[in-house]
Amino acid sequence: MIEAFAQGAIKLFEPEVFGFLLLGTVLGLVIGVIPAIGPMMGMALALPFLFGVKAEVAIPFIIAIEAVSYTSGGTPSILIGIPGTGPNAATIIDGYPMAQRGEASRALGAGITSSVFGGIIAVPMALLMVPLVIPMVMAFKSPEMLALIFMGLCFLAVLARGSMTKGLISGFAGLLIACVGFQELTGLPRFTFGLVPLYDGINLVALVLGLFALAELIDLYSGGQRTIAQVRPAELGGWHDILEGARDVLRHFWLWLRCSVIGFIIGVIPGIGAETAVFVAYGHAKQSSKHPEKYGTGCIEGVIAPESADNAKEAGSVLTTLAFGIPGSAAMVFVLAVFIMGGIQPGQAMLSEHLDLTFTILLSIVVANLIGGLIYTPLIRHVAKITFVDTRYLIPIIMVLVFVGAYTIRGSLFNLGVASFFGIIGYFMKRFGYSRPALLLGFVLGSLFEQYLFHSIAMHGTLFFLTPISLVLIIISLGVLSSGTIRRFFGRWFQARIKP
Amino acid sequence: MNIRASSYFLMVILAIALVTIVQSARSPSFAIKLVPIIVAGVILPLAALELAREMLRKPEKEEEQTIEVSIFPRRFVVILAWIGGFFLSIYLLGFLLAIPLFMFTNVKAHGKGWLVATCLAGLMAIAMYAIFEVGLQVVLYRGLLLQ
Repeated sequence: MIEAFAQGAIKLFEPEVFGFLLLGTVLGLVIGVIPAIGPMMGMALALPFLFGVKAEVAIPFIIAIEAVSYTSGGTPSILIGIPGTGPNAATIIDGYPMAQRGEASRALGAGITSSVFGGIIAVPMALLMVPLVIPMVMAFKSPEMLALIFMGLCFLAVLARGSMTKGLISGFAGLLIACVGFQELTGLPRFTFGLVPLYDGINLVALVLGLFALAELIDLYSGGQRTIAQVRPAELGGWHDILEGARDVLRHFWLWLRCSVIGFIIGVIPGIGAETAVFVAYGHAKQSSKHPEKYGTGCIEGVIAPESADNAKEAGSVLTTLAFGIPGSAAMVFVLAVFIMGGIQPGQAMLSEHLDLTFTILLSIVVANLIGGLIYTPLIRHVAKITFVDTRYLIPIIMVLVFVGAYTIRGSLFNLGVASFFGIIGYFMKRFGYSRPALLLGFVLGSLFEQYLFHSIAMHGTLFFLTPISLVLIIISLGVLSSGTIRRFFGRWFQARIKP
Repeated sequence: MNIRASSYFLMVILAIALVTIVQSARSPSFAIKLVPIIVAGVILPLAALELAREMLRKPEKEEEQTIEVSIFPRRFVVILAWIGGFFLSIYLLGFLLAIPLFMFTNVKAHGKGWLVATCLAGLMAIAMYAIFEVGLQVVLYRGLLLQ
């Protein structure tokens, strides 16, 4: 294992890998600052450029985009009260009031420091877990993997925006879309409607570009907003204030550490999003505080807690994605997509023959966060202006990138049609509260789902789900699905008993 | 009973699930039909449940008691037209002409000046050529009329 760690570290600093990591870091910082472009759209736009790039180069690039986008995403949250990325929403609660009373730089200093070092501290936690995870992963066979896929879909559905039913519909719709094309076992076409381009199935990159990039553009345009930010940003102070914010993280070291651990643990659980991690961390910080009444009025702890958790969850999500092949979060679905594009199957292989690649990927989180923090801190004042980018420029530029990106995968105009079709579907999904990450997860795992299903039936018959581990995973999934109902039932039961 | 825009979306999902089950059931191969039937079989009752829930839900405001008319807001139709137009221009003229044409007309149509629109159009065309044709060695489609 030490040898694999050393090989992984050396690989990270090879010129090609490091160059892409650096590029991903810069892109991630820019993407995080612009509220209209989340890390998912950014990664969707980056996917076409990664076609043909080796997985060990492409994955650190994608990881870097995601890891640092949450660091810079705190900037619009604090300055203008609009989250740069979804998980930065919790930072608004205390960060924005701080900025309104003239402490913007202090809040930014604290946010960047806690985010960068939250991301870094989680990596040793993940590294320590690797030897514990290996025997677990080796015990998982086809029935267990099938149950894990089901659990991932259930978690994503329950925690998706909108109703749980809509989340499940989205996830299973993704599985259905994955059925298009040649069926692997028989080699016969399915749902191709006689169209030759569909024999290879729906192209992943075209689907992702449509669902996440084009759909967001359609939504942005339909909403009629001219600029993302429509309020004047708080004035920024000087270096002294930024450093004061960094010192605040040291003063609240144990809070920062606890929230980083919370973020990491939640990141490990598949399907749970970053939004959950940040609000759980914020809730914990408030509950454990001697002055909980200060939260929400602009207290520095309310910035440190969510910012440390939102980056710490990355290492946990990456570990789950690498070890089990099940995305630890919605954004990890893109990492999984890059694996598939690179011909590497996450799972057991990543903890045995490709263990060095696993370490490269985990260490890339550390390096990306360090570089991101070093680049971003001196440039905050200038980067903050990007939040005012006019959508009249942004929309046509991104549309061109989407169409060119969709074409370059197979040199086929058909994929432009696929991207456009899923762009419209994605718009309506967003408008009516369906989970696009759940659909993407179902799509990415669709062929695996079918493979595991047939293997399970062949090995264990129709009662394949009765293996001990599968049964536990299915019970957990059903428990999660019914948790809302159970909570409501017991809530009413207790209320009936409390009332005189 | 309330029919919202989201209800039509659910009806489409229901229809697709139903057609999938019927089509798959007709397939002679067990391996071909198993997964679509299972998956569509899960989607069908979920979509039906959600549709029933939506249609039986009381409206929050009195205005919602009538059928929602903004299924396709005007700006949605406009952006669809831009997407369709861009697609058509790519098909006919190829990327290297369609990109500057689209950028110029789109930026100009949304109130920016001639100089800004022209510069952006030129910059995007050069950037796409440099990144894809020169950098990534991908030959961009030349267009039906120019091939």
